[in-house]
Amino acid sequence: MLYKNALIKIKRSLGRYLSLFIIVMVGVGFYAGVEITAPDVVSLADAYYSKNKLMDFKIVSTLGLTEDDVAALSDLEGVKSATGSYSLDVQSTDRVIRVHAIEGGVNRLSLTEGRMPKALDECVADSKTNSIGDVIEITDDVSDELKNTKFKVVGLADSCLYLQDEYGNTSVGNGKLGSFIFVNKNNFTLDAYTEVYLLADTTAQPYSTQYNDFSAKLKDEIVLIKAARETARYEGVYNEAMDKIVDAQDELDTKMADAEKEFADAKKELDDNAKKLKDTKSSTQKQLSSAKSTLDDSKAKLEAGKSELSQNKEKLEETKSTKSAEFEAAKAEIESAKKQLGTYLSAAGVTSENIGSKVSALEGAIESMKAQLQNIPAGTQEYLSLEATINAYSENLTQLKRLESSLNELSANEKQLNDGIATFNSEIQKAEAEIKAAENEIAANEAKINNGYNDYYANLSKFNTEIAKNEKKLKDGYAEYEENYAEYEAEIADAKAEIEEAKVDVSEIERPKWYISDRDAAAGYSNLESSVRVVNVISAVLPVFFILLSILMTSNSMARMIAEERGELGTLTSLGYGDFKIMSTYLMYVLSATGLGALTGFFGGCKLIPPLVYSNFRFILPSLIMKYDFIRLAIIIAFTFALMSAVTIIACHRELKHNPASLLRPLPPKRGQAVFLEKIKLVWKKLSFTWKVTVRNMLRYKKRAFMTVVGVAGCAALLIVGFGLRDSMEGVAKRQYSEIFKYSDMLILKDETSVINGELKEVLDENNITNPLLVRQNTYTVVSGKSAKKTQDAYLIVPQDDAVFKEYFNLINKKTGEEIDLKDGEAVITQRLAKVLKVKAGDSIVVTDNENESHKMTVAAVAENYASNYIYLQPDVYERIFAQKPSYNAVISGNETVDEAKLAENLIDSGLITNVVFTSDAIQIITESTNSLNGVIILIIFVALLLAVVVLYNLTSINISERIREIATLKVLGFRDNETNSYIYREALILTVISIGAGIGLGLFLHNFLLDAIEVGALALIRSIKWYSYIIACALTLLFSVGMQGITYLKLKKIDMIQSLKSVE
Amino acid sequence: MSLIEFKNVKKVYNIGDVSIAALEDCSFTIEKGELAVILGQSGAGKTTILNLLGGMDVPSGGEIIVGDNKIHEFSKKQLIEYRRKDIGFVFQFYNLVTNLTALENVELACQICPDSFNPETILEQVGLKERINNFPSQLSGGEQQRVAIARAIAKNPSLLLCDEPTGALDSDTGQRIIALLQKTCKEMNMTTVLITHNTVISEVADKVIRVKNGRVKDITINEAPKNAEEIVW
Repeated sequence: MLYKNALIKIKRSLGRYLSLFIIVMVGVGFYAGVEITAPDVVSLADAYYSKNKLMDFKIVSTLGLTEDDVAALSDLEGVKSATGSYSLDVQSTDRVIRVHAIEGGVNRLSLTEGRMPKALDECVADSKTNSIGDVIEITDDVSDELKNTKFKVVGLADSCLYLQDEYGNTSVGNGKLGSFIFVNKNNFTLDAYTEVYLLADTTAQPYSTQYNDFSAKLKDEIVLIKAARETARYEGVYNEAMDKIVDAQDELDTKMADAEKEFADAKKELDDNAKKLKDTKSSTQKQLSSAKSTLDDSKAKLEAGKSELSQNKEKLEETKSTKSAEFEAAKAEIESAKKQLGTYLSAAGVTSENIGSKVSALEGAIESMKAQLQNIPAGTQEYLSLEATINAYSENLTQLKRLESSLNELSANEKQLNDGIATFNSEIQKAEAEIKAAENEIAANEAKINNGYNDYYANLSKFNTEIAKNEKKLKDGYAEYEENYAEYEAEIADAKAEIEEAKVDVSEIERPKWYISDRDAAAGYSNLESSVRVVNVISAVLPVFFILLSILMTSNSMARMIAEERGELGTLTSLGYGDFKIMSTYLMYVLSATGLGALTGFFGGCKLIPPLVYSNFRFILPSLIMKYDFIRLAIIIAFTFALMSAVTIIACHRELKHNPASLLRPLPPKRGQAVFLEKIKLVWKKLSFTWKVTVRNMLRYKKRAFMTVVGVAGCAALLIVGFGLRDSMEGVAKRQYSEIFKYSDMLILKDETSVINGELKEVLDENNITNPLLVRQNTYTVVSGKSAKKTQDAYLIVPQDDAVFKEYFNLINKKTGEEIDLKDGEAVITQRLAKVLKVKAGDSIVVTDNENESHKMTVAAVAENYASNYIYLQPDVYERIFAQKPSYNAVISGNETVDEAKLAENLIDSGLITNVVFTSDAIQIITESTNSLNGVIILIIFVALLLAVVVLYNLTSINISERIREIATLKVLGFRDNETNSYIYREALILTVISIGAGIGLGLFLHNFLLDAIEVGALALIRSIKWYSYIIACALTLLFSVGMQGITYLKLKKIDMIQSLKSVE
Repeated sequence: MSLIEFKNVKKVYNIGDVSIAALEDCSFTIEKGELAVILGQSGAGKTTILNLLGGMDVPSGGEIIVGDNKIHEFSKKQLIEYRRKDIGFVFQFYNLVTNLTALENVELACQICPDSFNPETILEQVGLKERINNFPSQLSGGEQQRVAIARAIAKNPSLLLCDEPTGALDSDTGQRIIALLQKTCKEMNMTTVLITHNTVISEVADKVIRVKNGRVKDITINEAPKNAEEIVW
């Protein structure tokens, strides 16, 4: 009957029963589900590792490893097997790939498609970047290492060495391993293994303490033989090299001796020839020069003759011309005299011809007249006239006579002159003839001399040509000799240098160094561990929260239920039922609810949560196998039962210790109390009664208020955590790749350069890459200057131009929000690096490259950054620290290209750029991975909803049932429905608001806590949560809360005043 | 005209398939300022009458007129307003809000009534001047009932309804409560309806309405009601 009563009770209070069920289900489900996730994943990994025989250790030596090394390693205690193998990082056409040798006994492949390679030019490759039928071509010179450079992909495989998509770093190419291939081992032509894989003799689960202990012990063993093996290898390599050098030296010596002799002979012959030629040359030259001097003499003489002749000729001409002038003057004088005389003659009326006759006539006349005169008396007229006539005639005659003598004189002169001219002319003619003869002679001589000269020059040129020819021949001979000798010397020098170099090399052969890596060498191995750790952290925190809450809720619920039914308890007791019997009905009620809840929760949680969480693990592992940990189930059930029984028994006992009579009386109402707020009269007086009641109620039922706060705050906190995680991860992509890194792409250059010019500039211009920034980017292992305990990998970035750098990199001091200037000091490092290494501005860090070279630098500032670690250095600082000018290996630019694939193809096709890394790709990858968080967020929202609903439902219904009389009283007093409701709701709403406040705090704390656990390696997450996430979280919490109020509203409405007023049963 | 008029009121409770008639053809009137006592055994239907009068329940038939209000026609909302303005209710188990002081309990009622009395004055009237800042749990039963009465009358209701106000009290305290009610009724001219199964108490009433098995057995008008101090039970 009692049990029937219990069943009826369940039916009657289905809401409470279900809430118990749900609380326990959610609590247990979440706990069990999250708790089983990590073990599920680990056991999955374990199975995968052991199936594929993932190595436990990988030993790499700087000088390779020999069979002896392998043997020594396999002899170690705890080593199951040691396998010498090969791997090689090479540049293929578009990415860096690691070529592995296929091993059967270790690091086996899981073929996903195709077949294993048979021929030497076949390979299996990862499925990330390859597909079957692809041909992978190695562009590096690997003739010393591999038989083939082209491999056809015949199969795709997963390798346990690569557990994640990011295959790791390499010192080749862009530093990022883009792909891996496995080829048959005999493809490698190396004389020593590049690595040895060890399989440990243990079955311990990976990541377990047991495994780690075993691994540490084994490592110690390896370290013990390390030095001896290194020395052995060193000696081996040293001796081999030394032998080679000695041989080479001997060979060189012999070769040198032979060559020297040969050269000496050749030299002698050449010298002889030279001497002979010289002799010939000088004798011939002598002959020629004497011939020439004879000719020259003749010519000089001739020239003298010639000049004399021309002098004479000149003189003659001169004479000729003076004489002619003289003659002409004389002629002219004669002519003028003639003319004057003519005038006189004509005046005298004579001519030169008749003057003589005239004179004679005149003389005759005069004589006749004189004679007449003597006949005429003197003094007579006649006389006188005759005398005068005689006088006039005489004077005339005198005049004529004078004229005649002048005429005669003149004629004589003229004659003399003409004679002079004739004589002169004949003399001249004679002289001219003489000259002509001399001229002819000279001309004949000249012709002779010219012929002599011609002969001479012909001989000279012939001689010269011959000499030149011989001399050239000789010179050629010498040149050839010199050339050969120089060549020989160069060869010898080279050979010597080579030997010297080899000697130096040998002396510089560093002792080989063994690098012992454990499974961390498998990409993703430790990431898996940290991911598992994240889940473990969540499983350590959140479920505990849930379990606590469900304990709190169920115990409160049960205690309340029993308190409510104290009347029934009293009745049953008075009817004579034993305490245990009465308790058992309640036990049945609570245990069935919680037991079912626990079972459902367990199976549901184990079924749903691990796959959901696992779906966020981006590891290359087989799919998850669901497992149920029945021991855990048993513990959960036992724990739940024990707890619930205890709660029930205590609650029952509290009631049952009273006697039945007092049980039958109503529970005295809880005392009202003045609250603290009342002391502040000013405030208290201003409050309306409903407010006063609200305040008092909240403080009166502290436990309930507390639970409401815990529940609702938990809900709000979970929502904030959920949205916050999303914000933190999603924000990373945006912050990192569009706000901190503002460039759109990075071009990895094939050859390092110091400026952008020539072809590179052309290529950049052609592709519209504006404002390019040259940077040097290298990977280094970084430790703090104080302690090398923690190491981090980081990119060292050296920008060529500070101004452009600032355009592309927004380095900000997160604490102060100030921009960081590279000029301010040495190294600017990123926040995660600073945090992990525990360094701050002013401290020092040490970076070590692949060659094990270390450089120390001072941290100038810490910059905000989320993905990967970076160290930024100015070129001159780099130069100072690294003692060399930086050469740049990448170009950063801020293109806004539509077709990125095309751009990349164009750039890589140019042959100058090996790779183009787009920031948009990075954003996409991160966004994709954060999108997978949606599952977790939905889970969290769902759980938060359940939590809020269950807690609020429970508490509000308790609140109402406890205060049903109070509410009825208010109704009777004439309180309107809304007034009555607000009486209850206000309390709930205030509590909700307080809870949301607390929830935000708690959420932030949990969020931070989870982020701390999630931040592993170089990943930093954004701590801040977006404002709208707060709003959504708060709004959802409020919504859940108001939703629950809506349900209780219906309950409130149903309260029957009459019934409740009477109900003092 | 009478303040209260009950005309052939019928009340049937349906519990599952069974119909139980709590009131059958019940008619009476109460005048303004009267102290009426409804007397009857347990289950006679007197509480039902009070509930109907107080607007906490609606009749299945008949008419209830209080002043100008036809209560039987009232909607739920109107009933609330009616309770709010016109009715003061005193419960058998006081039903004080435990979380409020005596004064606050009275104020609780006052704040919803437009023309209420000063709560402190009222509490002084019921003789609780010294205890106004005490919580119900710090008060005796009689004191609590006084607070309840003060709360009821502070609203300045036109009708004061008391459901077995002495039911949970010893006779001395009960007597004092009755005296208080009688005094209030007379001094404030407040129509008071009191339910009791105690015939002694009915001696103080102006009008006694006897109820039995859901019907009005008889109505007696007491020409010379006793003073409350005079009665003993």
